[in-house]
Amino acid sequence: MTDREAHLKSLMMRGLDGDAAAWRVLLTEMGGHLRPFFARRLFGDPSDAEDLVQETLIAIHAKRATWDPRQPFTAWAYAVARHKLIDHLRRQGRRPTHPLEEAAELFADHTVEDGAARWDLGRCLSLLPPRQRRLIEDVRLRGLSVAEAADRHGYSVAAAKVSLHRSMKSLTAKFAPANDGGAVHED
Amino acid sequence: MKTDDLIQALSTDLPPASSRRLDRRLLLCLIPAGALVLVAVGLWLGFRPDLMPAMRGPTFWAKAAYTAALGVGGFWLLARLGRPGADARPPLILLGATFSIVAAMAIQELFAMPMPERMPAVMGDSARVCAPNIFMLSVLAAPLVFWASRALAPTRPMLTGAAAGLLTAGLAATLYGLHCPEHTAAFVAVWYTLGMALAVAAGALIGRFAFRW
Repeated sequence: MTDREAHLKSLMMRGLDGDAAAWRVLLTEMGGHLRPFFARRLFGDPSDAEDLVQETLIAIHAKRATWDPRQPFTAWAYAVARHKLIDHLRRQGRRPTHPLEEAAELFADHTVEDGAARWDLGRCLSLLPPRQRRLIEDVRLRGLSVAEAADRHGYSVAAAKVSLHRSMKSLTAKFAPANDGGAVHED
Repeated sequence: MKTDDLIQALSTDLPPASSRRLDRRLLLCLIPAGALVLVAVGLWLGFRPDLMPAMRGPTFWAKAAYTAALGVGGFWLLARLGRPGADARPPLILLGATFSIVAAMAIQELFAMPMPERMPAVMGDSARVCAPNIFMLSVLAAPLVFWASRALAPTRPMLTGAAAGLLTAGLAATLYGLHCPEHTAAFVAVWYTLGMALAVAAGALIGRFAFRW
């Protein structure tokens, strides 16, 4: 951390003296640090993050005289980045313009909790025989009708219904609390 | 535009820059701003007739010390607020201390007076025009100060505008002392402070728009 500070600070000092090569290295490295900084804080179009990286680099360039050499360089640079981020969020708040095609992405399941639940579910279902598992996934998770799913996997509708029922029963037996094993939510 | 191309463009033809040069630019703008205010005091308000003898006494300089100290505090605050990540507390403490000292002096002065003299000491002969005059003189100097301050990078535009307003008002009020013959601490603590506060408030409003970057 302090190594990075010392390194960036020396580049900054040389840049302020007019060393264009050092300045190019500094901006390139700052770009590398800023990209994840903005990506972590924005949940939207990744091109927004890249725009902010560019805006911050321009500000670092244009306002470089406002860095006081007695101040840590990174504190200054990230204060500039935060200012640009807040400015961006404020502007976005004023005109919330997410194109409709992106709405799905906004509501898409990408939270940590969701991922964990999905993984648990996968593990449960893996206890079932593969053919039974594919059927239950189609009906219970993908929302196909029993008839459609039966058709897809070569079951008769009646056989599919039986298979689904058996699957639910064996999963319930496996995971339901011991004292009320009969409480099956068949909705 | 790709980021690499942007970096390439930014790092060709790089003129040297420094924090010290930025401070110098701010200070240098005070010379024409001060000259402008001085001319306005001379032509519009007129210098106080007893200026020469007054300058030999302590009161004239005590007034100037108060307004100049607030101006210096304003400059310091402006320089800190204009630098991302810098600590703005020390100048605020200086400003608070300056005002507290003068307020305490004014109260002490008033308590030492017999009751009927207190109100005239606060009101002087020019209570009604003092604050507006200081405000008008600040308005004259403000464009130069705000223009020079645009080189800064304030992350809190309104507060920074207030600081720039205080710097402007400190300059204006100090030079207003060349016109104003009032001599009580109470008058200065109330009316000078009020005039400067008006300039600070106006500065905050201007800062909101002037200090976008």
